[in-house]
Amino acid sequence: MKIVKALFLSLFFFLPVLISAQQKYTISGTVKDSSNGESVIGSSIWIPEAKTGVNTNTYGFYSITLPAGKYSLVVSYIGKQSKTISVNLQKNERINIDLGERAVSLEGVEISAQKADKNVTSTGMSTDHLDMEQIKAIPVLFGEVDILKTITLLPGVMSAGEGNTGFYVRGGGSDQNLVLLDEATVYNASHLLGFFSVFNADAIKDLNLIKGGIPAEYGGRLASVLDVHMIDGNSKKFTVKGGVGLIASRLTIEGPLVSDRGSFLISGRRTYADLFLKAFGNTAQIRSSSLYFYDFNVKANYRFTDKDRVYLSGYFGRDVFGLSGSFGINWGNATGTLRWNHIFNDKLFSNTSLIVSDYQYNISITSGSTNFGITSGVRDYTLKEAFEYYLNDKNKIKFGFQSTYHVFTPGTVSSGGSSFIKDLNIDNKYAVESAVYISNEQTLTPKLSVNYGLRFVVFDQIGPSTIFKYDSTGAITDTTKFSTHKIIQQYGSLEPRAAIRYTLNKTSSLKASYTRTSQFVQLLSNTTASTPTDLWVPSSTIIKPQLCDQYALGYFKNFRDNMFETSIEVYYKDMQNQIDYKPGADIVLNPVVESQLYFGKGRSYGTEFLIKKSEGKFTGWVAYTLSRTERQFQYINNNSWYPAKQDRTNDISTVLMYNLGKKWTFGAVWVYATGNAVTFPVAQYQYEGHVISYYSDRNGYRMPAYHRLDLSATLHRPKKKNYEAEWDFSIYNVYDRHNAYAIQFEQNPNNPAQTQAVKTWLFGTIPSVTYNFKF
Amino acid sequence: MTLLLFILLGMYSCQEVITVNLNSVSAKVVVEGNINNAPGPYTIKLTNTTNYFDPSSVSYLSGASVTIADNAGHSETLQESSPGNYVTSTLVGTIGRTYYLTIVANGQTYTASSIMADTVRIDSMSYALRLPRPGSTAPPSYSLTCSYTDPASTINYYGFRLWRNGLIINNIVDNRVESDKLFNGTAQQVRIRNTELIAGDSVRVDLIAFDKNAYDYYNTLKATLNAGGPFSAPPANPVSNISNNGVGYFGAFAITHRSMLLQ
Repeated sequence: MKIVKALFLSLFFFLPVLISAQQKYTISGTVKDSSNGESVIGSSIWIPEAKTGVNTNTYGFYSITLPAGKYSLVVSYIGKQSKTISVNLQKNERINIDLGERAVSLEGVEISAQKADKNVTSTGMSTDHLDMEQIKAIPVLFGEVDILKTITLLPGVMSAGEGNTGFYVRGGGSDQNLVLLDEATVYNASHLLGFFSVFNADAIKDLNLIKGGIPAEYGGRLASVLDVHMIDGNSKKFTVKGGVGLIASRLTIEGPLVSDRGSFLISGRRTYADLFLKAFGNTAQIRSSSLYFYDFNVKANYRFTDKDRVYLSGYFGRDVFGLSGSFGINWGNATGTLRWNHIFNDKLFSNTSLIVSDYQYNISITSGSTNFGITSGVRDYTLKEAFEYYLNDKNKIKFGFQSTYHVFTPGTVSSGGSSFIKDLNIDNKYAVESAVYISNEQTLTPKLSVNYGLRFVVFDQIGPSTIFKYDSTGAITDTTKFSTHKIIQQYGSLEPRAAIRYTLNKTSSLKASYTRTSQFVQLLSNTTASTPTDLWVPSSTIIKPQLCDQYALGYFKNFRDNMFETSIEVYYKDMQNQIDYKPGADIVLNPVVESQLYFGKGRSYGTEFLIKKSEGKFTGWVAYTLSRTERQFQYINNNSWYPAKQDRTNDISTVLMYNLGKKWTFGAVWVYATGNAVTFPVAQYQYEGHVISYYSDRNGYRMPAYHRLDLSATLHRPKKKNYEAEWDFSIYNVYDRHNAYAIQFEQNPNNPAQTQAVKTWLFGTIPSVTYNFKF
Repeated sequence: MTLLLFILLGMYSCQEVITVNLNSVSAKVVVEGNINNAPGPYTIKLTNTTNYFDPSSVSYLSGASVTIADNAGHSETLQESSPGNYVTSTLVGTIGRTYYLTIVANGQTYTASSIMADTVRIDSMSYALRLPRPGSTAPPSYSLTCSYTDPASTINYYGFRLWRNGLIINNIVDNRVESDKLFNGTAQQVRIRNTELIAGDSVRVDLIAFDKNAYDYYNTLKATLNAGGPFSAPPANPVSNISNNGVGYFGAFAITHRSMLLQ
């Protein structure tokens, strides 16, 4: 702890406290969208006279301190009409700014929603920002706009599989992404076994994906942060928007609360895939099955005073899957966030959050007289306090703390009175994860900026619990009982974060970053695809916290007055205490699940190239990632490095959008990725009359390469009174590539003496149409 | 569970046979055999693995030296009765004893051991004729139900085998393997179905009590048989009890059985 204290103190010493003869004043306020009152996140306020600027935070707030004098504030956000406001600064000023739609809004869909050269000028690297306008212009499967599928088109981000919303960031696993919805952790971001994400596009404002140089205010996952913000709700007028698609429909209502002091949003979505089951199922059993999901987003905010604003946001979603009275499973997330923004003074902004996050699944099985149920899940209660201190125009300090109480329910079986099954209650596991952080974004010289910080995390697994020790075969050698709140195992982790930007000239810069992250909860998932029964477990006496050190270096250059953005980034990651599974590991309802695991290390390195065109009729980007992700485990492949399942040597994403006048927008996506590393048999033998495959090296083979072209066209109907509508047409997998979803080896059913390899592919060419409306 | 996930996939997915180039590896020794509480002789079958896409004619391993010993001082070297099949003549399987298998083949030594568990009795057995749904072309099938009582004082593992007219038609790997994790000390029923059974057949069900190694082996063997699907674990070899990278399993099984005539 002494070291920590010293480090924190030294951080403060770094902060230069500038004593100047000239009197200084602060301009602060919020930036909003004039059409609907939504706060604008990340809009740029640039002061040409002082050659400095600031961006609005997550709540649209900004603050900048300057010497007395005359200034102009150039406020811009792409897609919005820029505004210039003149100020004669002789005292502290509160300036709230409304930004309107740009007059020629159909010029094109802009890709960067920020100041045109932000990619070059900010200290942030390895970061992507997308807002819904861009995401909605990209072709999608079944006509369902999906932010998680869109982010896999970014450099360094790979899809976990066909139609799958799981994603891998720079060699991290899909459980190593911190997915936040209005600050609440989303434990399982997928619906329908991963084909759809939990994010309803109509309720989402924008998102930030941070792959490297992760700022100190974020922690808890190894690989990335996906920070998703819900729409606040229209504070100017009531609006209704919705969509009817082939597979799902959506409806959203938003409007003001108490005349401009607040607003609300209610959004719902329901799929009807089960109607297809009923119509086309080839057996009575399938026809009587159910298979659907629904979700709701609600949000309300209210401004009590000019300095206090409260937000309440919630998400609830459930998947339901049932087979005519014999088997049912439902699963889903629920999150709730209560936030209080308080502006202490012109320079100090705070946000206090109370967050609940819950994921659970329930299985019910009825078989003759036997019926029993299984429940499992995880729930978090979090208190978070975040401060932003706008010290002066050179330093922006963030500090705060966060504490989470985790409750893990590995599984309870209730027999429902059956005599054949006994109730089984695997002990809940409890943990407290607390963190403090401080960081400073500092402009050292006009050319050199740094963002440095420190995060310190303490993780305690606490009682009540029964803790086992195992020998090398997994047999229990010792059992210890711990009482309530007693600390079973404590881990601390000190996470330095640093990023530096050096401007080479007006259009190019060099950036570097170092990030240490740690992860104290892990997903146990022993299947190739994600299933709802994947199990979250805390770090414990056996499972050590995962650690990752990431080093990244980038070169950013813009051409043609920021019309083209390009970047090259290289990264290297070193990961410790990674998890793999013993052969035949049993992770469902296993009280001694920790005995089923192997522990090893991982490394990942790669280069990411990006060319992006943000303005004009033609927009889009090409992202290419060349990378390697490997793991080393004592008992796998004789302790030699082997490719991880998320290893893809080449990964290319091409996104093109074209605006043809006011009526039509066209989109095209082409993706290519090296096939997954997989294990194939090398020999066969017979046992009890069956042909059995014999395997040698783990992940020694590759699936065929994955590639696919999608096209879309959107027809915008002319606005009538207040009614706006559009038709979205899209074609998924235009050239009908049969991408391998799985390859199985089996006996030829017609000639059992012969073995064969059988490829399963999921989606051929799938056209879809969606009608969206708004009034 | 997996079945249901596949129903969803089945709505959209398609399959086709493809060509895959696989490496070849040197042959491994495969052991299949057990000693049990029924009178001998007991057979140990030795074969070699073959390249994956080779037509599956079994490659028997001849000329090996195979010895089984127990912890009560008995030992016997097995005689090769036909290529790859090694049989005992004097050994008597006894409950509670530990059995040691030693194989010397091509200059390599392979060993395995297994403990013979206590037998668990089949309390009763019944059958029911299942008629297909109207309109279905599926043949009628017989469903056998066996009841047994799990001993509360011990951790138990079970496998089942179905015989028809003196021949095994469902082996251990084809049936469920059970651990009493979820039902320790309670009365259990197991249902075994087979569409080959017809009226007049004499059927027999074996209830096999075995140790945790056998349970792990059969569970992982079943996983290996079903490997490669998106909802299965990454493929791996079954957890064998044969040393020196041998393949297969040598078990000591405690078997009880019941027979009946189907009408």
